[in-house]
Amino acid sequence: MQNENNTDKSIEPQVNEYEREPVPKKSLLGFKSFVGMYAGEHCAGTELMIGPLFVAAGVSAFDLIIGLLLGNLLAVLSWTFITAPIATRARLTLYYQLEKICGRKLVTLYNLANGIMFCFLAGAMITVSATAVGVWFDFRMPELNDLYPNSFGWVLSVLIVGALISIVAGYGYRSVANIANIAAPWMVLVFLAFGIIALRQFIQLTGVEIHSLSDLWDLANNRIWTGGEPLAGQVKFTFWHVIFFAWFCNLAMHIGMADLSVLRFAKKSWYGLASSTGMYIGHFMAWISASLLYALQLNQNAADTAVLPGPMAFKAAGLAGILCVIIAGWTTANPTIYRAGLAFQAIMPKFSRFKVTLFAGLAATIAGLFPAIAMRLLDFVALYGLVLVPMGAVIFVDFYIFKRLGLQQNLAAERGISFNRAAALAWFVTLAACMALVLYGGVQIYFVSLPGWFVAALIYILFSMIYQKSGEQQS
Amino acid sequence: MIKILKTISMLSLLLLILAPLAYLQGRLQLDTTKTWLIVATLVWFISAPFWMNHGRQS
Repeated sequence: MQNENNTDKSIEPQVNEYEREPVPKKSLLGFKSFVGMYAGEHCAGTELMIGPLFVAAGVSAFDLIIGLLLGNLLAVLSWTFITAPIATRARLTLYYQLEKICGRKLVTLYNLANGIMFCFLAGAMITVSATAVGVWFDFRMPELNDLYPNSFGWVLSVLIVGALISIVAGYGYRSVANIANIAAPWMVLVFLAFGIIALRQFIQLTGVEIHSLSDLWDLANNRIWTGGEPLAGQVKFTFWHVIFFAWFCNLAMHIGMADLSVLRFAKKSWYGLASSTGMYIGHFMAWISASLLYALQLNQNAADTAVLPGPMAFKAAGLAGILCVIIAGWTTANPTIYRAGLAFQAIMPKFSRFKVTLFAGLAATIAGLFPAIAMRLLDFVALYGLVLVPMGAVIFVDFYIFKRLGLQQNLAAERGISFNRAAALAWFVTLAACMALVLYGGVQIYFVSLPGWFVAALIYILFSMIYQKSGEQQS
Repeated sequence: MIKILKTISMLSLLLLILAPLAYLQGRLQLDTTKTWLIVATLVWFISAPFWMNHGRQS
């Protein structure tokens, strides 16, 4: 998942600049800036939930390793060949680019959707941090299939963690971003330590001797990621699930175009390749390490199916492990709540940023009380991408195809409209069709976003042809 | 001074990876590994802020 702190020194101070103009040449950044930023961004608290959920989904060693390698490669290629070329040619933020195409009112709706999704995501991060509290205080923590809070201690723990994070976010997240920057290299190595320690414990537990890579592969296949049936209440993950999940985990950022705001600073479009650091450190190494911790827990006690990053990390790495859970959860939740606050403030400009951020924090804390979001994080991440990806298709089509079809690019800016109906229809109809497929068509949510992108693109073209050629005035 | 602090920080990161590797090889016990991990963590968080966000303030 994405941690929105930038580990890089040079990008962060600039992201709020040039909000309504192309980034000038003098402010462009080199490849190294993006390498550091992506590496830090994608090693977040939620990795500690996602890794174990793969194991709960009954994934096999081959499906996990090869699926992650390929899925992450597709994600890197998406950043490089879809997001970065538009970012480096237009050099505009996602919001300004969208506003030029869709108009202010539709962008406000997009902001609302984004803000709500951010609140839920931050809720999952608060849940992760709150599991660390349970290491010191003896209260009942959520089980894998729990939907609702199951003890007073859990509620209290989430409320305290959520309140702290929200108040800090209300005062601005710069100081937390600084801590996150410092923590990033340390956190990556603690994640690696989780994996190495869990591997040693597997070797001790099973009594196998590892003399070659083949021995290691046998251990992985037979004891760690054994495949077979998922745990009760979980969806079975195959090779294709892993590929699509890894590819679409940050769908909103690449194909959904949110990273236009970041990559507009890149000198060359191939700088999108820098995302490989985030994918192969955070979404490969960290997921595998976290899944090792959970697989070990299941091997030690098959009945202990609870995914609780705090206790798992404490068992493996002691205090350093628990600090990693707290810092990973906190430094990720904090900017997410802050960004949700910004999104809501765009809708309610009369309220101060502090008040709106506190409101977003309250919403995230309430979401964090419900373990269903964290325990169903794989589904939620897929939904998050699905909700925002149609607008990525709208930007792509508007940028590359409209001129060739004789259609007006950047319609809202050119005609002074505030609500582009064709773009709105592309968004709403795609979402409705995809959700209908998921709810009634038996298609799993991990697989609808790809056809959804094409549907959104086609609808946008079709209705733009109808509206633009009939000369109908839009609102 | 910054150079010394930077070196200390890098050594703490090295320790953070060497301790688990030593545990993997059976050269360290788990409790000792955990101790080294928290020592490395403390050293990192004490030394790194002096140089990591140094240029950022300006």
